[in-house]
Formats: sequence, C-alpha cells, structure tokens
Amino acid sequence: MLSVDLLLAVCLGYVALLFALAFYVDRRARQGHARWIQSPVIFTLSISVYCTSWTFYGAVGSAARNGIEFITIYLGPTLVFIGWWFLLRKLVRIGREHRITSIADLISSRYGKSSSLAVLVTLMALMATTPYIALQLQSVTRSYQAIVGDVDVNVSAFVIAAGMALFTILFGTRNVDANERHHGVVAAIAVEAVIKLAALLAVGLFVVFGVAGGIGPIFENVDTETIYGAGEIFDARWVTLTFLSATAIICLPRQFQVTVVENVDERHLATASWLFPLYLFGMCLFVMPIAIAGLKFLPADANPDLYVLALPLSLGREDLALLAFLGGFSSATSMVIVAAIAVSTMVSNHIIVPISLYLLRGRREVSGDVRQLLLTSRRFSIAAVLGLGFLYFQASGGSDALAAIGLIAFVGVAQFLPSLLGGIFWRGSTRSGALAGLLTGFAVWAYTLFLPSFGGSVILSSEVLESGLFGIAALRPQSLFGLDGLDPLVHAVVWSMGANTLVFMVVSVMSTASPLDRLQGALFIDVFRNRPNETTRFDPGQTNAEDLFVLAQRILGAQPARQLFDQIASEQNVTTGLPQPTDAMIVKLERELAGNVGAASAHAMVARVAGRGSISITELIDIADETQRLIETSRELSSKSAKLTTMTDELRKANQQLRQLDLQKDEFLSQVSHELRTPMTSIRSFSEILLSAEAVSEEESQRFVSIIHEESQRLTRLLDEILDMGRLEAGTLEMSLSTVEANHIIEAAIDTLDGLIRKKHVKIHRDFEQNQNWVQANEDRTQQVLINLISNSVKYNISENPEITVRCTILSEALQIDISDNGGGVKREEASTIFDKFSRGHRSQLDHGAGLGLSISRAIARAMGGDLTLQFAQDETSFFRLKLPLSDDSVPVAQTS
Amino acid sequence: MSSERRRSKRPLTYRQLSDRALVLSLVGCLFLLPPLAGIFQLDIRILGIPFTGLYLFGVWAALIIGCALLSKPLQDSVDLENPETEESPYKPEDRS
Repeated sequence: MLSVDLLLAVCLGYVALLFALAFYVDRRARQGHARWIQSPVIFTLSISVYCTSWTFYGAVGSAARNGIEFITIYLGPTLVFIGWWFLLRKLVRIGREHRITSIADLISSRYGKSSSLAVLVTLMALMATTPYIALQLQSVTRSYQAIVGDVDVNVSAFVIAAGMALFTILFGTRNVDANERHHGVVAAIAVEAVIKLAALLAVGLFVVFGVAGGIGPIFENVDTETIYGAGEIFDARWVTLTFLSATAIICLPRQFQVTVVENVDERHLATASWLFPLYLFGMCLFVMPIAIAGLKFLPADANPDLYVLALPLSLGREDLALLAFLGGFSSATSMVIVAAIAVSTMVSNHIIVPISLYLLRGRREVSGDVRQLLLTSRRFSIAAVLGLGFLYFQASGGSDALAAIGLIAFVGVAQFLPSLLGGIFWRGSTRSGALAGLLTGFAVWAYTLFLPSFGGSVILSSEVLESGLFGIAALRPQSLFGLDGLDPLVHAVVWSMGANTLVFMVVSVMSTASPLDRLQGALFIDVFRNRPNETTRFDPGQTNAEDLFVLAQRILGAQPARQLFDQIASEQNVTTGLPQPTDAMIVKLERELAGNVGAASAHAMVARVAGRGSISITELIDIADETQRLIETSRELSSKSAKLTTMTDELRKANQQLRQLDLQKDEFLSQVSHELRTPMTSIRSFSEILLSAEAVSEEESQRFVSIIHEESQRLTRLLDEILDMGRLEAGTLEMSLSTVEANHIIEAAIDTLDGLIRKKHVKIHRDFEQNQNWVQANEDRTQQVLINLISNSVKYNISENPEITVRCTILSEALQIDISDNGGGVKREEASTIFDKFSRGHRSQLDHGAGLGLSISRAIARAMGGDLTLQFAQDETSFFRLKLPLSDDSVPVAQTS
Repeated sequence: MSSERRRSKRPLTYRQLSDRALVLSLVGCLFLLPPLAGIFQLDIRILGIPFTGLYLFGVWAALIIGCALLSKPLQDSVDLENPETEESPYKPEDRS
C-alpha cells in the first residue's frame, strides 16, 4: 500500500515541477528565448487538453459498461481535424485578425459586437463548464481515495481547487492581454499531456503483456456483447456521439482557447491535423483491454471508472499506480486550468467589465487604471469559476450523476455550432437569428437533458419527468411531443440542435441585419480576402487623440499605451506628440483593446471616446463598397460572356458569308464556262465545216468566216470584261482620276453609239442643268459606263418610237446623271439582281450580252467614288442613275481634249 | 514515363489539398458511421481479437496515415498560396 506521505510528496513535487516549468518558460518566452514552445508539436499537445480525467478514467469505465462505444468520443475530433482543415484555419485566421479572446467574443463580434450575445454565450459556457470542473475535482479526489483509503473528500477537493486557482491566476493572468499566448501554461499542459498518455500506455502495456500475455489472450472467454455493447454498435447513439464529439472539439470553450486563441501559426494546424488524431489513437488503444482486464481480475463491485488505478494496485505494481494517479491528476488539472482561463476571460470581459464600464460611465477624467481593474476582475473570475466548480461538486455530493455530465456538457456547447458556422459561412445570418437560436437550443437542452440529469431533484420534479409539464404528456422532457423510444441523449440532441438550427435560420431570414452586423459578417466570411485595418471608421473630426490615449493608458497600462501610440505616430510620420486620430489609428486601437476586453466592450469604449455610438456613414459606404465589388465582378463576368456571344455571332455571320461567296464563285465559274462555250462552239463548228466540206460556196465561206470573226470578237470582249471584273473586284485596276467635264463625255459616248442609234431610230433628249459639269473621274472609264448604259437603252428598247433622256443634275457633292428610256424598263423584281454578274433583264433575249456590263459599270462607278443605281420613277418606270463626285477644284483644269 | 511522372508531381494548390483532406474525412465518415459501418459488425475474431475492434482501429489508423501524407504539402501550400486569391470573390450565395 502506498503511504499517504509518499503520495502527497509525489503530488506536491509534481505540482512544484509544473509551477517551476511554467515560471521558467514564461520568463524565457518574455526574453524571447523560447522558440521551441511555439512548435507544432507543443501546439498539438496543448490541444490534447480534450482528454480530461473523463477520458483517462471515464473511457475505461464507459468501455466496461457499454463496450466499444467510447471510441466515438475520439472519432469525432479525428474526423474534424483530418478533413475540416479549412474551417479550423478560418477560425484561427479570424481569431488572430480580430483579436478574438473566446468563443463568446467570436460570436458576439461576428454579430455586430453584440453584448447580449456575449453575455448569453458566456452564461451557457459557464453552465456547461462548471459541472465539468466538478467532475474533474471528483475524479481526483476519488483516485486519491482509492489509493490512501478514507479521506475527507471535501477538504482534498478544496485543496485541489485552490491549488488550480493559484496556478491559473499566476500563469493565466500575468498579462492583461488575453489574446497573448500563455507560454507557461502551455508548457505545463504539454508536459501533462505527455504524462497522461504515457501513464495510460504504461498501464495498458502492463495489463496486456505483463498480466494477460498478449492482446489475443485478453479477449479470451469474453463474450462479444461485453466488447461490442448490447445491441447494434452502429446505431443512432453512435452517430449522435460522433457528431457531439466532433462539435465539442470546436465549440468547447477550452478547445477554442487552445486551438484558436493560443495558436501562433496557422501552419501548426497542418501538423496537428494528423498528430492530434494520433494522440487520441494512442489514448484509446488500450482502453478496451484495460476494461476487460478490470472485469476479469477485479471484484465485481469495483468502480469501473477507477480500473486504470485499481488494476496496478491490486496486481502489486505501486509504481504504475502512482504513474496512473499522476496521469489522472494531469488530465484533470490541465482541463481545469484551461477551462478556467477560457471561461474566466469570458466572464470578465463580457459581464464584469461592461458592468464596471457602466458604473464608471461619465467619469473619464478619473485616473483609475482600468488595467488593474481588468486583471483583478480576471483573477476574481478564475477564483469564482473554480469556486463554482467546487460548490457544485459539494452540492452534488460526489454522486454518480456527475459521470454523465461530460456528454451533457457536450450537448450544451454544441448549441454554439449553428451560430458559429452560420457566422463564418453564411452572409444572411443575423444577430437576432443567433440570439433566438441559442436561446431556443439552450432552453431545449436544459429541459430535455440538463435538468432531468438530476433525476427530479433540481427544478424539474420527478413527477414532471414522469408525466410532463403541467401533466401534459406531450411535454415529457425525455419524450418531447411523443418522440418515444429514443436514447435520452439522442432525443435531446435531435430536439435541441434541430430547434436551434431551425430557429436560427428562420429568424435570420425574417430579420434584417444591422449595418455593423453586416459589416462584421463580411469581414468574418471574407477573412482571407480582407486586409486588416481597412474597416471600421469613425469621424476623425469628432475625435480627440488625447482622450484615446487616456483610454488606452487605462486599459493597456501606461507603458504599452505609450509604445503603441509612438508606433502609430511613427507610422504616420508624426515626430512629436500624439498621432492623428485617423480611421486606421482608431481601428488599430480598437483591435488592440479588443485583445484585452473583447470586441464588444472595446467597440463600446472607443465609440464613446470617439464620440460615436453607432455606425458611421463611412462604415455604410464600406458595406456598400463590398456589395459594389461583388456587383462589379458579376457584371464583368456577364459582359465577358456577352462579348463571347457577339463574337460567336460575328463568326457565324462571317462563316455564312464565306459559304455564300464560295457558292457565288462556283456559280460564276459555271456561268463563265457556259458563256465561253457558246461562241467557242459556233467558232468550232463553222471552222470544221470550212475545213471538211469542199461543197461550200465562196459566198457561204465568206459568211462563215465573218461569223467566226464576230464570235471571236465577242469572246475577246467577254474575256476583257471578265478580266476587268476581276481587277475591279481585286482593286488592282489602275484608274487615275482627274478633273473632267461630264457633258463632254456624255456627248462622246452618244457619238460612239451613233451607228446603233441611227439604225434603231432612237431619239436622244439631253436635259443638262449646266453647260459644264466638272467631276472627278476617269474619262475613259466613265465613257465606258455611259456607253454601256445608253447602248442597253438602245438595244433593249421595244418601243416603236424609242426615246432616251439623259438628265444631268448637280447635287451638293455629286453630279447625278439619269438615263431613262421609254422602252419597257426593268421590272421591280429584277431590281435586286440586275447588277449581279451574268444577270440579264427580261428584255435581254434580244441580244447575246454576257450580263457583265452592269456589274462592271457599277464596280467602275464605285471605284471612282461614285455609284450606279437603278431608280424607279413615280409611274413605276425605271431608270439608271450614275453619280459622280464633283471636282474639288473650283477652277477647272482645261485638259479635256 | 519518368518525365510524365515528374510533371504530375508539381505542387498542388491549397484548395486541391484542402479538398482532398475533406474527401478523406468524408470517406472516414462513410466507413465509421452506419449504415456502411454496420456491414463490419461481425462476430468473428482474428488472433483472438474481435473483428469490429480491429476494423475501427484500422480505419482510424488509415485516416491518420492519409492525413499525415497530406500534411506536409498542405503546410507548404499555405506558404505559397496568396491568401487573397484563396476564395473566389464571387459566389452564388453571396447574393443573399
């Protein structure tokens, strides 16, 4: 049997060692020599504060009672850490950027720095944590009892609580900045983490290999139900427990403290993502064998919760028992210390400080050091939290009801989850939604799980538990609205989380966010996009730098405040005196203060000094900017897609045009070959006749030769026209423009056609507005066009008394030559195709033109800067209109020959 | 062949790695939660050890190993990643 003295000595020695370590590390860190303490391994070890004595003793107890189910409590965190990296990283980033001090601070800060939310979350955390602390005290006193026999549990529990309070106050409140890492505390926790893992592994190895002789043998003669637990393993309770533990690793105040607040480097999360699950794996590895061994080797009335300790004791290994005791002690104390720091920060920042501010209101000139007040309040809070834990322990009389409190606390803190996740991922969540959701979840949790856990002794009587509130069966706490047949825990989780989430979302959707709420939401959700210090604005005109300095002095202390202001001043290039109270300066100050007193209080204080209680216009503009940025991005996107659409359209059109041109080219080629073929055929046949037949008279052969000659001429003309056409279209036809006189050209064209005109007895009317019309054109080509037009009029005229009118009109910039005749004209339906190549009007049966004339004429007219069009007079008769640009030279150059 | 393999080994982005980790976790959920996990509740023993216990610890160990393999590149990618570009500025739910 271990002696009381030895146990006490070891205990005190261990505690002294922790104090010394914390003190040493703290001092080294202050001198900047403790880089190793900021390593990812230490970070991971500090997260393992998750494993409390509820794990160390309780997991074996749970395994002995319910089989393998205990493992879910460690699978949940594993799943969160390996996969939900982005969530943890976002939390850590938000925590650093906004100097978050606790989970209450995070939620309140997100929802418009709301004090009511902060108070609510603090109270919930306090309610969930106090019994948990009591549980730790109980497990330490019980393990002490198990070794040394009968002792006064209350005294030992009080001594432990007091010792923990002392440690926490010493190392947890050295500095008023709650956002600063507590190096001493972290070092002590890391050592304790190693001790508890080593102790559990040692006991496990001893039991398995020292006693049972291997892993296989330990399970011999044990029925499966003992190992797997009764019924299905993978049932609703399994899922619920996994979900709860996954939630707890994020929402437990102490986990938030070590993972988010104490984190110095986001990248440490990457290591912790596998190292922490590995730690949990190690903790769980021997739980089942120890539980089985306890059932086998210990008397049936032994408490399964103390198997870890009782096994080595009963098997005569007092050294191992001592190690196990230290392991349990470590797990209990590390949890108590971190939970006390986390919860006391909340209590101090969100309850005590606002009350003090209220009491001190309007006494700005009082030189009382708020910093001292803060430290005192924090220390008082620590003592109060641990005191509450002790009182709870005493009141519950060390009953077994405490053992269930671990899971009950999990469900309690799980109520933070909807508001937390909604806050950092959902823009639409509002303060009212969070408040309503939390209150609902909290109420349902208390009604269905927390109060019934006292078995009818607190508030809810056993009568109410039996038959429901006011005797209404639908309100029975453990089968709400007739939801029977569920495990009480599953029942409570389903109702509380369901109601919480539903109310949170519905109220969020129904309510509108305040501007500050919206601003904080944008900052939190886009934490990876926003740069710090570009946010909250105040009107500098109303702010006095001295007032701010006084405020900073009172909270940060004289020296740090001086340093901060000097630093800001040097950033602003202000060499003497206080810095300008710019937006950036005030925001920075508010952030600094938030690290000490929480965002809500810091905002309230700065806002009061800066003379603004509510959100300013510039803040609103910021929010508008944020929205604007999104709108612009989406607009850019849509304009880009519109551009793409038009480009596709253009491409499609171009493609269509190309196809059409290709078709036209084919048509053109077939037309050309056809046109060439006709004269060629007659030339060939007439020459064949001339060559073969002797019986051709001189007269006949003369006629044949002249036909061949005519056809050759026609062929040449055709080829010339095609060549012209090609050149015109390719733009390679050289056409020198000069100032020429149009009337003269018209006369020349008529003269050229004189023979034809006489033959057809055509009467030509000239209607010239002026005697001389000077135009910019190529004389020969113009004449070619006119000859073509007039000869068409002559050739295709079917009137008995053919008449042609040539009219010259001067427009502002062009000379307009209209050539009309009385010989039938062009039909309306031909108008669109008359200028196409090889197109011939309905009158063309009279002649064998190739149909290129008009096409070439128009091309020539356009090449000279004019145009050739077909017009219709009011009486539906058609005429051709040639437009030629007037000459710029007012004095005509006499160059016409 | 070797060049191909080398090319495929270029560093993955933070987002890709983070997604892989998430998928690993979801696969873990699949194997550790009903209904799939129920398949592995068998009343057999391997070397005297109950099978389901081995199964649970086996999946757990596999998850830890998978995560450990992702951890180093993930850590490096945080350094490489420009935090501003990590999240798309435009998300459909932004228009709430």
